[in-house]
Amino acid sequence: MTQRHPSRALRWALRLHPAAYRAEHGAELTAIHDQATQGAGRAERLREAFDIAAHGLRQRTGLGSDRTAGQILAQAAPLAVALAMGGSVMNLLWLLAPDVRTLPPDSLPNVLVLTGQFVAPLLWFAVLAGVWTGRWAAARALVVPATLLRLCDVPLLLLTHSGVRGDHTGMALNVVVPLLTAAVVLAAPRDLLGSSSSQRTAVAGTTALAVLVWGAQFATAFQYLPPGGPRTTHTLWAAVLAVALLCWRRDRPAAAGLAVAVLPVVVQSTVPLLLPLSAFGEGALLMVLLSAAAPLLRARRRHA
Amino acid sequence: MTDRPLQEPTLLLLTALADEPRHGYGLIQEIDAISQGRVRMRTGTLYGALDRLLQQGLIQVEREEIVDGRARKVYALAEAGRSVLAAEAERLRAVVDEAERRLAGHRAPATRPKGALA
Repeated sequence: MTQRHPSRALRWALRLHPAAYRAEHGAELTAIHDQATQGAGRAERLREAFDIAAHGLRQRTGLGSDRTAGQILAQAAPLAVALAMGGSVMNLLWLLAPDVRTLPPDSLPNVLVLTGQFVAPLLWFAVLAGVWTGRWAAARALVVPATLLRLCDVPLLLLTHSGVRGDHTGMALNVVVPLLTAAVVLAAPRDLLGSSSSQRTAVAGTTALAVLVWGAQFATAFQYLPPGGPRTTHTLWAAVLAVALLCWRRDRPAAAGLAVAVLPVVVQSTVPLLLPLSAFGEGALLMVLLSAAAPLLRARRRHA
Repeated sequence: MTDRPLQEPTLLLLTALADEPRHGYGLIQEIDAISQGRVRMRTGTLYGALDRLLQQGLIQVEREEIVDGRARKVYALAEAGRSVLAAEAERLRAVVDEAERRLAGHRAPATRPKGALA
């Protein structure tokens, strides 16, 4: 094989690696890249460089598959997909519920938001199907449009002047929550993602949990307090996070994965209880902080 | 290591190294062949997996060589990796055996004559 000059994309991808790692492995990475892309088109070379760039970023951020954080993300990714699909279905049901619909299809922005609410569950269902069957490349590629669709809600909702979802907290959550979910799914190391019966069991279990929690929220939404007010059921996701944190041990990667996977939905359901601060919000925050102490104390004892 | 089943990329990588040591691109080609073209492992993904398997002691760098002016490492299965792969193969064999036993013992449901009572 003749030695080629690395392409600009490959040079950038290599630059994303820590300097010491690049010095040790850069030549070999370049050689493998060159052999793997010999005779390939521009798109294929870019995909290969993108994969090397992702590896570099994981090395820099400590999220490689050889690190605990990367292994936890790999556990969390399929569960985060299940929760995102559940969340998108929940958003749709919420929109169809009596007395809640605030977006009549009377203008283009409203129609686009409503269309997005219908398309999002379909996209997330496709992502989940990819995860279920082990087609992670397709699943992760679909996460990008699913996230962008959700992010598009922000400018559209500003145009609709919607009263319920047009507040600053709601807007911020519309940006932060989808980005958190996408980060969990896309940052997980690819070589730890596959399809196994235990993974499918965990996904099914998380889906069942989501149905229970969101079902409780949905059922109680209109009975005790006016819409938008704080409710006990809004603290349920914080309770799930608290239980996952309490069960977090080195030999229980599933609990750690669940704790990371539920973070976006905990943010979504708990932040409105904290801004403005309510008794429910205080309780949820205290519960999470106290339970977070358990894995920290365990880790400290292990290192002592 | 836990006793959980191996994820497919790990299983394919260990299998690719089971018969002889290989360098990076050789592993990509071998995984492509073993999976019958279904799994095309990219360079960054392969390197991530190699880092992890080296750290877990399942593989080792057998030697470094210079080819066309470039250094490359040749990876080999370590003893621990051989045991993990053997255990996984045994687990998969048990599932396949059971599937074949059940398929062989399966009888098509008898068609009931028209008008017959259960």
